[in-house]
Amino acid sequence: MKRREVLVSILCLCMGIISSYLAYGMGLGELKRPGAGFFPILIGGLLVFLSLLYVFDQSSKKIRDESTSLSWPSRQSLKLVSLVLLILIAYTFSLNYLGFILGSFCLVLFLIKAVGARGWFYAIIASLLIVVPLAIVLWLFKVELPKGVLGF
Amino acid sequence: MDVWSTLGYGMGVALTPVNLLFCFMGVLLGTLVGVLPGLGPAAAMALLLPLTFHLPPVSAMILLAGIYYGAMYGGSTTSILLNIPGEAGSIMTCLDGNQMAKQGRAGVALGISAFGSFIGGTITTIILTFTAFPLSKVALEFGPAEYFALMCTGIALLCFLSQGSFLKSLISMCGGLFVGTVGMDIFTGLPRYTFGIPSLYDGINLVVVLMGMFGVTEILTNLDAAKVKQTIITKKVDHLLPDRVDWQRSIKPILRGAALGSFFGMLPGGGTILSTFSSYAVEKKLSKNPESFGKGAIEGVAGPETANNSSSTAGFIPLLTLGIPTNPTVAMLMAALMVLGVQPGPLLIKSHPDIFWGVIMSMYIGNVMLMVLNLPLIGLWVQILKIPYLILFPIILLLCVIGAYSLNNNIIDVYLMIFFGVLGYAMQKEGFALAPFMLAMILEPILEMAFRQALAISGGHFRIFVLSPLAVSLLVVLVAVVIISTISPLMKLLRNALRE
Repeated sequence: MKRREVLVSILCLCMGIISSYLAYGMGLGELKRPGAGFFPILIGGLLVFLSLLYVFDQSSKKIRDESTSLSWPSRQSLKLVSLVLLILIAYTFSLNYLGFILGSFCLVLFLIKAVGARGWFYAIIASLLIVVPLAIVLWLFKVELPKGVLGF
Repeated sequence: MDVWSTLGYGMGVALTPVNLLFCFMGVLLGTLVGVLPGLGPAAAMALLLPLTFHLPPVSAMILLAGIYYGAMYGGSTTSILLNIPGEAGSIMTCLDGNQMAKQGRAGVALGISAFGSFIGGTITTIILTFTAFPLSKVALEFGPAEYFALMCTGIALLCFLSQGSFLKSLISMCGGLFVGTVGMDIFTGLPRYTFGIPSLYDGINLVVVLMGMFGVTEILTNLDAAKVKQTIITKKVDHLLPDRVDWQRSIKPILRGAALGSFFGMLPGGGTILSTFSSYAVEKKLSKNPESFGKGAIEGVAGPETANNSSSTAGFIPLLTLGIPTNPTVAMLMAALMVLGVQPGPLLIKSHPDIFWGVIMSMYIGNVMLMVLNLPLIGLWVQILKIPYLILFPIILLLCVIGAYSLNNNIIDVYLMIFFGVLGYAMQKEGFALAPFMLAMILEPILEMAFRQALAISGGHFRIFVLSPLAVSLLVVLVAVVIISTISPLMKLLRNALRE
């Protein structure tokens, strides 16, 4: 646990250094006319300072303080979260091809199956009952959504 | 225009049939959102935002505002019946509300919640009505240096009051500031942190980030909770009207709750959590029977529920007068105003008096609607609570995607939303508060503009930030917050070092 927090603090430090470097490249301008990189480099400097404090704070802790211990999700939870994200990304990728109605039907179907461990019949009916009324409401409110290769 | 004629004008705007309808829809949706655990008012507002694009700005704001304070009413239902807070502001209600329900007094608990929320919301709306005009006048005296100091102090206060360590909140704040810098610099026209991606030249859309961090993050965090079996109090809920003894015990906690909620609601980071926790602590301290708290004390429901509604209404005061959101949910309202083409700030009262006074007046009407709605519809909310989360979360995810896509018809926004959802999830797991990140991101453009304008006016001298008494007062508060936050951990570090 402690090693993870030290790694996080080092990551914050690296982000501060990289963003400050990129901000320097944008041009700092003059004090009376600050350039595009002036404010970002101040933020970067602050982040570097805070990250150093954080690295020092995490490294100096010998015994993990139980009152501040953070619970990392279990392996099963991480698998579930990863699966949901994968389905969501796949849906986003295919949205312009499948269109909203078909794509959303597949999204809801796979989410219910992946997380709910229900039968296919339940998942199909639930998906239809969710997607069709939603599509009608969105059509009524004239919300623009991708049509896909099938035209809907 | 004097205050009374502006009130009349505002009431005229709020009482049009269309705006009455949207007020009703807003409070109904808000109550529904508050009842459903896992879907907060900010996420609901983000999801409904695309639907408001075709509405007049006044109606859209009345709808969204109704969702916000309506959710505070709804949150108490799940706290009392399920022992699961529907909203963060209903956490304290679980302690005594659920105990009252187990004792067969669910109706009284729900009733006193509704009445307390109504009284608190109304009192704070009255405060808002009479302070809005003078505060806006004061805000017009603010120059760039004062605005910069105000926003720095506001963000620091939010970091101080956020859960978790102050250091992590500040780091989170820096992350938000960076995200706010992405896009074309308005002074020089140079792209910043766009990495050649054309979609990023206009910056990262605030609504995309909020939907990611409120919608997607919340779902990823709740996925485990969806498997938890919920025990709903299924006995018939009756006797909704508190009796004379209940009122005698509740009236002072309600008034104190309104005062605490109004105060904390105006502070950046104050919000519903701080006001409800404070109210509970105060009532327990002042009670003649403090041992009854946690076992069904009606004071433990009346005070916090009033405080949470008061604080949600009080959040409108700095938003409408200064253009500064005090918490991410109010920030969502600010984002909505900007998307609708309305610039929030001290000039709002002059440039859009219909929105300003119309929204304020609609709160009186909304509070009455909520009190009338909540009590008879309790049976309906109980049925809705039975919908499994495993069905709800795909709907919420779908609405998040629709919301993100429909902003600019750009699929990149959906990918960004997912990215911020994952970032928010990782941040929460590592103990980094999300509120400082979001508020910093929202305020960054205004903060940077104020900073650069101040330097331009002073010819590059930083003394402009200490010349104005107003700016100095705010900076003193900022320094005090930083000192108080760092002293305690420093003392702890010193003590540990000395022990070794």
